[in-house]
Amino acid sequence: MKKYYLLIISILMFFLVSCSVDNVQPDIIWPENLGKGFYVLNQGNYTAGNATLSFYRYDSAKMENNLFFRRNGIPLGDVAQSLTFWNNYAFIVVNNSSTIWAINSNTSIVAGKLSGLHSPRFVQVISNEKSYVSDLLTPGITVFNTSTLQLIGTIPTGKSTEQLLIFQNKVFAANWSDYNQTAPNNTIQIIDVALDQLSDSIVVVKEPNSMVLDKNNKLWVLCSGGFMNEEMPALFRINAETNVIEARFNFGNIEISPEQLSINGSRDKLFFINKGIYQMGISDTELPLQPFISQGQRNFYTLAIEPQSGEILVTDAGNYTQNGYVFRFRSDGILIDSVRAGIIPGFIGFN
Amino acid sequence: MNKTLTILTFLFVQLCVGNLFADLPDTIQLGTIEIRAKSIDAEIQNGRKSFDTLSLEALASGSLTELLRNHSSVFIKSNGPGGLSTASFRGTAANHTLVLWNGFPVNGLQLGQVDFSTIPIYFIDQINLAWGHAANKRPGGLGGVVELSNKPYFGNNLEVDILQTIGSYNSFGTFAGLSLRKKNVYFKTRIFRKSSANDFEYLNTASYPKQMMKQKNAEHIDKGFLQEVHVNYRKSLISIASWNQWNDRSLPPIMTNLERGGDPKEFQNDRFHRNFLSYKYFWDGGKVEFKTSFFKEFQHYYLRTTNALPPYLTVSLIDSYNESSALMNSFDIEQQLFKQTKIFLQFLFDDERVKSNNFLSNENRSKTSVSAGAETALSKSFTSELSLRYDWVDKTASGLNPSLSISYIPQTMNSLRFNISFVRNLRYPSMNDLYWFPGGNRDLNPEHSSGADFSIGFTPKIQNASLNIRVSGYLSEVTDWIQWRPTAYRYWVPENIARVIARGIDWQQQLKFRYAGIDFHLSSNYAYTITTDESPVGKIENSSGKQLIYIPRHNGNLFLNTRYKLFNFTYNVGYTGVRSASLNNNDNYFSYLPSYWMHNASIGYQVNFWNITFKANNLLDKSYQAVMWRPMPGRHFEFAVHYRFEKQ
Repeated sequence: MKKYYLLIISILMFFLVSCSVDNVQPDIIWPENLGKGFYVLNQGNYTAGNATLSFYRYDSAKMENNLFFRRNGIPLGDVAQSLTFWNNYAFIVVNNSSTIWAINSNTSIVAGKLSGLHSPRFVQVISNEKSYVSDLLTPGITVFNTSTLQLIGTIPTGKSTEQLLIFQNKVFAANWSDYNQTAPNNTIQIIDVALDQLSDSIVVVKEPNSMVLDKNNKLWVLCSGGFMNEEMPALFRINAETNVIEARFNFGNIEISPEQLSINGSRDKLFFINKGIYQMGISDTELPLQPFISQGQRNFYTLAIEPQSGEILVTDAGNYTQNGYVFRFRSDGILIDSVRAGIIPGFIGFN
Repeated sequence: MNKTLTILTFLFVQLCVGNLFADLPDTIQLGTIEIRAKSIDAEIQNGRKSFDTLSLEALASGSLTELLRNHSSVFIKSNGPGGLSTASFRGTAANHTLVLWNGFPVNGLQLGQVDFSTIPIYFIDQINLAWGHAANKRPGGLGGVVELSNKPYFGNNLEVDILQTIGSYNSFGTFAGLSLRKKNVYFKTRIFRKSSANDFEYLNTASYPKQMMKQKNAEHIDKGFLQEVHVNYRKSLISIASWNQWNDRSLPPIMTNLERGGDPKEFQNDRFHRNFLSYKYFWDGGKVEFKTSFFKEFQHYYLRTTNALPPYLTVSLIDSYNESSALMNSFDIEQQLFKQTKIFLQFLFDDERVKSNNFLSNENRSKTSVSAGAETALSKSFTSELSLRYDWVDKTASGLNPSLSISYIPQTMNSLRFNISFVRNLRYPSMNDLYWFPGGNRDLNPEHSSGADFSIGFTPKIQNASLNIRVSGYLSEVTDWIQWRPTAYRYWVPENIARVIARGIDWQQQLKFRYAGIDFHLSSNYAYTITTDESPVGKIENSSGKQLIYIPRHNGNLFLNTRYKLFNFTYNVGYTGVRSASLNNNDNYFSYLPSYWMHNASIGYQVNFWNITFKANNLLDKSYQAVMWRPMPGRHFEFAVHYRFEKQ
């Protein structure tokens, strides 16, 4: 009988040994300043808590991934939404963690944190003492002290707000989502920054998803037409001083969802994603028919134009569960390189 | 369908006249007319594992989660105590694990999976695991089947059973059973109530700075009631059972999401009522059984968030109601032919209905299956089992799903058993896959699996001891694996995308012996699993060849129980290997969850009708996560008093 016990013990020992072969080794902390480059904010998957921060370094032409965790030893959170720069800091809005991180933009080391929010989306810095935060679910804009990260109050808007853009003494707030609300999501609201009050609104088309300001102080608003494609997508040109719509460009196909309106450094060329990347001059009278850069097999997700070089940076979200990519194109559309980022690279920010 | 039936009938007749040999593996206790169908060998049970009463009694206050985690190589993915807990067999997904209660599936119609934390072991008399060819009686169990049964025990006595537990984090459990046994009648009532504040402390490694925190919004209350009546009349057995349960649980946020402002609330309430009626009639060498069941389930999911500052007005609200019902019927007939052959025929018909405010309309479907087969002893060394099943959904044929198992026992060394089996099976899309709005895809095909399994069993004859070892290797392929994918419309849509190949090795061992007056029971389970997506899409997306998420390559456990006079001591060690939380390469630290060992121990003392047990779980106070950013409790305790009274 003893030989059977020995057999069992031998096999169990093998089992115990074999179980210990696949432990994970944590990363080495990376201790230097970031240098010149751009940030990529990777959203991660909803409720997975796997949002990450990446930084592309021009000197090495490499992407440093998972930077926030490597610098601070804690995860960024759940669904990283946007990045806003202010002086030597950057505000990272983490939507489903209801948090805004303030990091040193040169090192990515945490400088502060604002919590207790609801579903924050974008930050617009007004002054050293005041910033606005839009919210996907709350019908109002939250106001906080930019320097101290203390909550100040809320500006009621009656509907959720998305992208914010400051012009002179007012902030344009896009009402993009109609999730869980009855108010229509087809407006741009105007906030008086002196009074912190809603002062006006402009009716556009459902889902105004992105806005830019051109060199002539015209506000361009791109609308995708609704979650269920209820309306024809359209691009609007609005006089930012008078709030009057000057031009409307319909896309002619209700099935599409153009997004990610961006502008170059000299603020005279517009870019957006509609599967491919399209380019349009601010004085053009028609929407471009052909993409400037074809999407091919890629899944273009977010877009940014490097202000100085005019490089076109676009992310590929892949299948939304694996790490995505960032593609760098020259301003004439020639591919420079592509580098791997994190899961769903959803925002590009320039320091 | 007529053509198919003709083919099946032809095959059935072929089996009948083929002079095949097998036997009834069933054991049915019927009081004075006990029918103990003899099994010509245990090998025909290949592809099955039965949990012994020792394991069930030791975990009577627990759920199936603890049983499978501590006593099998099935991988359990748990969101934490009282939280969602799913099981996956052999590299497949949670919805490929079919759970049967007295032969009928309890998998939710909408998601297709089972929350194992809601199944109290106290309500179950017998629990089996089946995989490979043994899991092919119904569609759905591409990975395997968990069979839960309630059994009648006729006699002449009254039994009262009360179990009270009290544990860490304000956890309480009350279980009570009353059995009345007569010569021809068996009546049993069981009730339970479990609750826990579940506010354990843990180190939040996602907070800034890292700090000890208490789990919030994780309390749960579960209540249940099970009634059985079995009547034995001459050669007939009539059984009625009704299992009713009310599970209320709050849903805690993940560790990164604890700082939401306002007064958010998220919970899920589940109610189910499962009723079944069966009639069996036995005759010499055969039996016929007709079963019908009606299951009704309600689920209420609620998520309310408020604005950040008082008075906390509601700013978003999800108030989702889902209701499903299933009327399921089965007809089975078995007949012994010749000396060593058994043939069987089975007919299944299920009608499923779902009403949900997440669907555009009420939806229903019907599923039909016809099976025929035979078990036979081809010679003294060879036995085999062949089964052919044909399935339809809403009158659309889903194809033939056969299984074949052949066993060999060398005459020169009959402690060894070799078995090889092949199986083809399918799983229908869940109702959410088909009808969820937006995104549900009515054009989905069923998932199909094909697999082969080779096992070696070793059961030597040892004086005053018993040893049983089984090692098996398997290879399976699931095609048309359903994956939810993003679309240009920004919502996700399920598609038949993946082709998953799973292969691995299973080890199971049990040793029982007595030494120096002490009874020892030592068992171990281990699974080595490689499961990868080999579809063309997977190759394009560079996910091909990577282990599927949340399935460890290494998973196993050891269990030691010793009994000395009135004392018993149990020690259990479980190992869960590294699990990937995404299909990315390892440049993202939290793409992987590290492996961990889990140690549990208990000591018990029995005197007269009383049994007192003290358990310590997570003995080494290991800080770990079973699901990314879901905290798990450290060392915690449970004290149990079990009273069992029996009167003739």
